Amino acid sequence: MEDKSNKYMNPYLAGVLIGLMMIAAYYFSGEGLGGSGAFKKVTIAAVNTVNHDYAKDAAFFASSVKDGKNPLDSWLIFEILGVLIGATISAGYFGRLKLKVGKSPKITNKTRLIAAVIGGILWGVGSQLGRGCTSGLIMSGMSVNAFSGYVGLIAVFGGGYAFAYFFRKLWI
Amino acid sequence: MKNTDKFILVGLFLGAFWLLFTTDDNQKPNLSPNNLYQKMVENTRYFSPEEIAHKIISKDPSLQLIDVRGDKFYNKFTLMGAINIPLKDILQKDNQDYFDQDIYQTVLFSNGTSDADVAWQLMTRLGYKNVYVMKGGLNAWVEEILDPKEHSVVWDRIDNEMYQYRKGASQFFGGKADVPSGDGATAAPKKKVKRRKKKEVEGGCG
Amino acid sequence: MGPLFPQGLINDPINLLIAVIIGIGFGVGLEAGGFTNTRKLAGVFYGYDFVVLKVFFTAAMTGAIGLFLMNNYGLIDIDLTFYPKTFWIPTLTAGIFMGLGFIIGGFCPGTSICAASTGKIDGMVFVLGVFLGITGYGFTYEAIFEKFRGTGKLGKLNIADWFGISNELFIFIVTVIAIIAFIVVDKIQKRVNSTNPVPNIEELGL
Repeated sequence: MEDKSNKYMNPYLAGVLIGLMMIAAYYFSGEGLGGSGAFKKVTIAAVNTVNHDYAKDAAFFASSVKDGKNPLDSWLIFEILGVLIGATISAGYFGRLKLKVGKSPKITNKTRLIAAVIGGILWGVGSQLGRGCTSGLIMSGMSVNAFSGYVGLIAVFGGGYAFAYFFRKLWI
Repeated sequence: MKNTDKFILVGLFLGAFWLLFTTDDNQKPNLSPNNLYQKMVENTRYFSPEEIAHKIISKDPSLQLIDVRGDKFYNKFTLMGAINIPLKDILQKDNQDYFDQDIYQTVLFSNGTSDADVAWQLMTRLGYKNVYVMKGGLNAWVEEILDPKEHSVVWDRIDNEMYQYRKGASQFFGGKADVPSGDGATAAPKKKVKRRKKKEVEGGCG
Repeated sequence: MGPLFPQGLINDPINLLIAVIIGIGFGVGLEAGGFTNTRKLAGVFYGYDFVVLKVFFTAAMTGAIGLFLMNNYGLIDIDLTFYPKTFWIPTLTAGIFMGLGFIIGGFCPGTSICAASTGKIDGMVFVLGVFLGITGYGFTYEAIFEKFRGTGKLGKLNIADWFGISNELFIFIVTVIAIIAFIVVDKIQKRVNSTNPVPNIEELGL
């Protein structure tokens, strides 16, 4: 069996596929594809389980848990489950289901993992403040010509390019 | 660039190009509250019953009359050529087709002025153009066209012309203005029609 | 006409089932496009792999062209969808966090889930980081972020309206710009990879 693990789908084709999913999401459910929303719900659910009294009064958590609402009962959670499944299926097909650390060979695993945590924290804060991540804010926003989508586009990619030089050692 | 790439990108371009030739039929530029207020205050939306009578008599092809009263009223009496869209139904999609055009002048009327004004506000707010109101409604129509009073005080030329015009219009529409010189034949049938009309119109409100 | 769920045309369980199906499609697109490979993702910032640009813009424009075509043919009413409101100040500021997070962490939340589910440890660790970040944000929300988050409010602002052109024209222009960009970055990618090859380039599939 040939090693497909370095073969990837034509990017434009992948883009069209994702675009079609975006259309379906808006058509059936009235909302766009998202990523950070699911993280938020899970976090709220966790805090709620540990200490419901705090959660129901704290501004960030309250609206998702009041009146006995279950934060996990939301479209975004089910969508992310699907993403998990889809990614696994595709990786299985291409032979990429391996435990590994993706990184430039010039840095150590430890460096990479620390960087990953920091990156995650930044996204955690940023996505809540900015009301979304690349898919939920930017891609979904652009699909309906929302101004916020384009603000996000400039902000995120602008920010990335602005800092790219300083962190180039992580990648090249 | 591979062939698949080109194929997809051409497809994307064609899709965007096709999009250019479509429009959002739903979308009307909604008027801002300020704009709406300006139009309301200007009073340019009113036509007097006379002006409407003139349009009807001269068979003005751009006139579209819409009676916004309930269908019971409409069926008993209405202006010549008027369509009935009761106020409560005016926001329905099918009915909005009458407003969604630039050819006709749409004149709304009811028994008085208020219902027609409400309809006017709704339609203007939604961005439709060429919408007007017949001032005074059918009540004024009866008074000024079907049953015009003589000016007893000062008869200047303008008033007299208006009066004569109204008399003529009254005859056209079957009102009770006297025919000045011997055309008795038309007088009798007109009398019958007049009585019936007067009763129904008085029953309105708003 | 769509959207179906907000108008009650499909019920909750079906809506959630559809969410899973759509998610599967999304996940396949992301993984097959190479978005679980963090070096491929970072490539757009360094010029050696522009897959992010290609997939992203193709997806956004496919979505936009498809949705607006459907809107203009009456298959969906975009106004009834969850249309993101614009708060430009916090979004712009947050973008700096997110851009930095992208450069350091090499993922965004959606792609990190894909990576984590396919065995990439850095993906899993990134996911952990996101949870930490959100938790920290949640606990300090009232103290620090709440006020700031609501600034720069512009409501449901549409970018085509902001430029004063039609939705269709805007999408067409962006599509053309994107296609031109695709051609240009291909050339850039070739140049960068021939003069300054990236280590272990074959795992990037270039």
